[in-house]
Amino acid sequence: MAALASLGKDDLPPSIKLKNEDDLAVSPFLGIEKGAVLQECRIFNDLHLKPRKCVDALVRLLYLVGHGEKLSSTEATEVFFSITKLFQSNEPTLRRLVYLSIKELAGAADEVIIVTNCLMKDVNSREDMFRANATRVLCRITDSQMVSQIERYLKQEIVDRNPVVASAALVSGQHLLLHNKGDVVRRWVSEVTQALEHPSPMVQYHALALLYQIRQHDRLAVSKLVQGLARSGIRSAFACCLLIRCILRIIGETSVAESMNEQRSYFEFIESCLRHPSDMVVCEAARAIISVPGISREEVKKTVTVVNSHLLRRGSVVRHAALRILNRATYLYPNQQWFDPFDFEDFLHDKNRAITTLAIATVLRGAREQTIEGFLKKIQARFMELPDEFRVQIVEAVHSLVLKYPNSYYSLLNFLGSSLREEGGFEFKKAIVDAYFSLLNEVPQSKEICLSHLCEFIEDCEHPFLSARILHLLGQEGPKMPQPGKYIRYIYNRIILENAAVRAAAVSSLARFLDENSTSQTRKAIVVLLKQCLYDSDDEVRDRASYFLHQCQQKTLEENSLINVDEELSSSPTTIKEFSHLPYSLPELENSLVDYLKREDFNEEFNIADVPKSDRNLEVSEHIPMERVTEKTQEASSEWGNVLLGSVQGRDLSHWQDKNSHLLEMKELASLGTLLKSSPSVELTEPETEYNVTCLKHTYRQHIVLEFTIMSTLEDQILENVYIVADLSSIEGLELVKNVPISLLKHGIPERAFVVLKRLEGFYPIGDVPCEIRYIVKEMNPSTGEVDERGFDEEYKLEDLSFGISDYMLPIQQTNVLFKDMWDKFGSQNEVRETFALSMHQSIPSALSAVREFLGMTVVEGAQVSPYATHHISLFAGSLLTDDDSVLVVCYAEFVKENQAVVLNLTVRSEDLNVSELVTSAIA
Amino acid sequence: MLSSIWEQLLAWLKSLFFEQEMELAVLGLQNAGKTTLVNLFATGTFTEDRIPTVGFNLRKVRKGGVTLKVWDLGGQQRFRSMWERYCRGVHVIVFVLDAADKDRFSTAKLELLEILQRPSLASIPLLFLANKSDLPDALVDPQEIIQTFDLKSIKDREVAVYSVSAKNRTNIDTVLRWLISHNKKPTNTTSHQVGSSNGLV
Repeated sequence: MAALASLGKDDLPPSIKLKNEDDLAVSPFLGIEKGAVLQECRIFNDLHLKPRKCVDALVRLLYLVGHGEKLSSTEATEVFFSITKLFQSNEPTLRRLVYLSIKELAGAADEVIIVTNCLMKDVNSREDMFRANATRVLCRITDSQMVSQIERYLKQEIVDRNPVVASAALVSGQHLLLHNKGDVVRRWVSEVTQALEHPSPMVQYHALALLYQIRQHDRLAVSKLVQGLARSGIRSAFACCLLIRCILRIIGETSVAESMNEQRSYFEFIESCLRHPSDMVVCEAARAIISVPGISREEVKKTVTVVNSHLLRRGSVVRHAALRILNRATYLYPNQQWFDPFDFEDFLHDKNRAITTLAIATVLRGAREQTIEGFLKKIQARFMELPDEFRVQIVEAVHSLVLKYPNSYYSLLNFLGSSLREEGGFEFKKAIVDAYFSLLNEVPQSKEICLSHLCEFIEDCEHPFLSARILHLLGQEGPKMPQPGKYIRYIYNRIILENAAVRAAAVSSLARFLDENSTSQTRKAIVVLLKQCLYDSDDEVRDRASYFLHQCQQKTLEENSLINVDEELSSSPTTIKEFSHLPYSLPELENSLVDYLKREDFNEEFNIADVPKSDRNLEVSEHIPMERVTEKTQEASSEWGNVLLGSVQGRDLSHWQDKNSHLLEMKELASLGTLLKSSPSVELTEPETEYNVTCLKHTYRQHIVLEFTIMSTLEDQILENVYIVADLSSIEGLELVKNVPISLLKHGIPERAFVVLKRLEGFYPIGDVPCEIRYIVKEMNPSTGEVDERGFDEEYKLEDLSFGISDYMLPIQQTNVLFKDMWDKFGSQNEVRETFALSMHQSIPSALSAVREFLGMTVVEGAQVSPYATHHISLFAGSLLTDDDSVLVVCYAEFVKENQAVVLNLTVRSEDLNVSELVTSAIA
Repeated sequence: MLSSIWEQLLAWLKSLFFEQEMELAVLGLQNAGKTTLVNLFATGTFTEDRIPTVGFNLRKVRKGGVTLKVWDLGGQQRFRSMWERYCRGVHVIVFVLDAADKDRFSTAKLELLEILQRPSLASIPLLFLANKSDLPDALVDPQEIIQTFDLKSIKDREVAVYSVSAKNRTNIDTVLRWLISHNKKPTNTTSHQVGSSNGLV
């Protein structure tokens, strides 16, 4: 068995197997851990060092630190000290790693100064590699006290013949300056200047950098340095680039007038660099020229040409740099057209995608308006192949293009819209959506297209974050658009189809459509939609829906036009509202139906004709005030007057019914015919006086019945034969018909006295009628109830009772005629216009309600008005008692700030000029 | 003749396979002459080095078939806390004293006791060198040194005291011989050896 097994193993060539394993192990550092590596580093403390193993351990340690592994201060210090022991080996590889490790750990470990002596020894060694590296490490670990001790070595090294050593010292000098350890460095100017002459370009470059750094705050010295170098020429391309940058900075710092000459020479140098053999220098020079403030357009153009013709033919890196310069030029000089987009066609198919992107973005920024559309079509295909981060850049370029050429928004938005439909990650989609958001505000004419693109997008959007944002935007902008309904549909679709977060956003957005400008129909629809959301599975969605429903309810309550959501919610879905169009009195209908059910005789059909028809307006006000709202503006339109006269609202007749019952008790009144109208009750006495008297006016076709309610507050007397005397002499057209007295009035019990007046034909008496009560008063002992039979006559003066036009005004009879039609029918011949200033009223709503009270007419349109409105139009309609004379009033109210008064302009039309005048005079 | 060749050959082979290596940590206050002493061990010449050691020096010295790895530690205040890290695992701790600088004897004593009480350094032999014996007011009598530094109280390790002069090379060879004889890790036997200019006492 064993032999077989071993034979089997031998069949597999182990080398192949090993190779495969090697291939699999991609990285030798796979799965290494900090703890294990730190453990491994302990071998540095061994008595007999094994350099090979130490190298491995250090490489692993450096790998960890380089990948961002954080060592604690203790760990770093521990491993640092064990590394210091590696100085005993002179193995070059190991020493190099030691240098690197110390540099890496210098920040984290404590007391790194301990290696100073070892490093100084290396700095003085004969190995150039050791010298250069040790110098760099030494400057890293040293502190400002130690610098003076190592200074002399550094100074020597700067002028060393070996370029590596000299560079190391120069760079270390820069490092010391940067970290504020190197005030000594400022004394090295002569050595560094000497290094500038070093044959190695690298040393020259580093020397220039250090020299500039030492002197950067001394402008004169810097410009001397730069001028000298510009004249003598520079071997290092890097130094040349650096010089260009220095010059750019000097130019930026000097004022133009100060040194034209100086600038001229600088500029000539930069320009000469445009012909430098190194592409890098040419790029740097071109970049510098276009960034010089106040440079002439000619110069820029020349530079762009150089870049265009010279650089764009080079390798990828140079091409990319050149494109960046052009891109920058389009930023800095946005209104110039530097190039034709068709020159760039090659780049659209460049195998380097970064170059493609940059080229597209550059062309988009710098192209002429007319060529954009064609160009966009051209890049569309290539665009879709690019990865997201590149597409984001292009989207941003398109975005800024729309801002630049708002008139081409259509084609650009088409481009964005089709991008939105493409596959793409979140960042890409977000960039597009951001662009839309900004365009919506910046380019108002694009609003509708933007919104429709976004609506389309959320129909199929995988990113809830974006959906929520767009829904919010729709809520913001949708209600202001001409057709808000369109957006409601999109929003509601989200409620049905999306996850909870988006649904909640959609609910909020939907609620935004419930603003003042929305029609009642829209409101109704939204309330229905929101109600459905109350059954959502998610808490947040439900909460939001009920919050907004509540808010909506509050609002409508405030506006005195109720949508009683609570009631609707608790009741069966078929609300009373839906029957409001039936011409029946609902209670009557209900009674009839209940009767029908009680009879249990279902062979006979329920006869709806038996149900008494209602006087619609009264019925409405009697039962469900909220119906008024829904009836109010059935088909609201933007023009005033396109409203049915039957759209009654705001007639407060709540007092009507109970008073009516008292009237009916009066058999005498039956002959007067039907009661047409009752006024609100009026107090005729001051409160807290002997008697409380209120009066109601009931209007019949020919008569007016005054119903006085009298209550005595005096405990020690009773009143007998109490009657009202109204002095009609001051008012024309009224005759006393009958007086119904109160036979006995006891303390605390209200009783009613009636006065029946006849209205003479053709008169609508208006004015004040003085009234008083006359009665026989008898003393009474309140404790025993004994009455002194000796009574005596007494009278008690009441306040005047006033009659106004409102007492004769009824709701209009022809309810299904448009206000506008009837207005036009009456024509202007029966029109009376009058302007009033109502200084008592400080706001339009209060003035309007006063007018309404005065006229007793129905507001058919414009009942709602904000207290802060400065002008407002309301339409009133009504008819006078006898003739079915319809009266229409257009009331324009304006608040005049200077006078602190409301000015009313009333235009009254009716079939009879007299009637119109009567109505206007009522207010006067 | 032949036998001596054989012996040399054997010694060479032996040194090839079993090269002896030992580690020393040299410490003491600044300006005690540590670096100078180590240089003397290494090169056999006296050079007056006035640059203070910042951190530490590492020297390898071959003596009598043994490689001495010497950690020459900086004596300034700021480095004393780090001595311990370099004393761990060494064969011998060498404490160098400036025998002429009597003002700092107490500081030196404190630092010595401080380092010896570290548990990680327990039972490592101590070589106490009173340097600069050539200077006129130097403390040279070993017994006096033992008394001044209370070296008798050190019980857990081997202690040797020598009065040396790097400048005059007094006692240097004796010290080196003593060191080489300690190239084995210390056993737990504790003894006191007191050396003088005339050798062990």
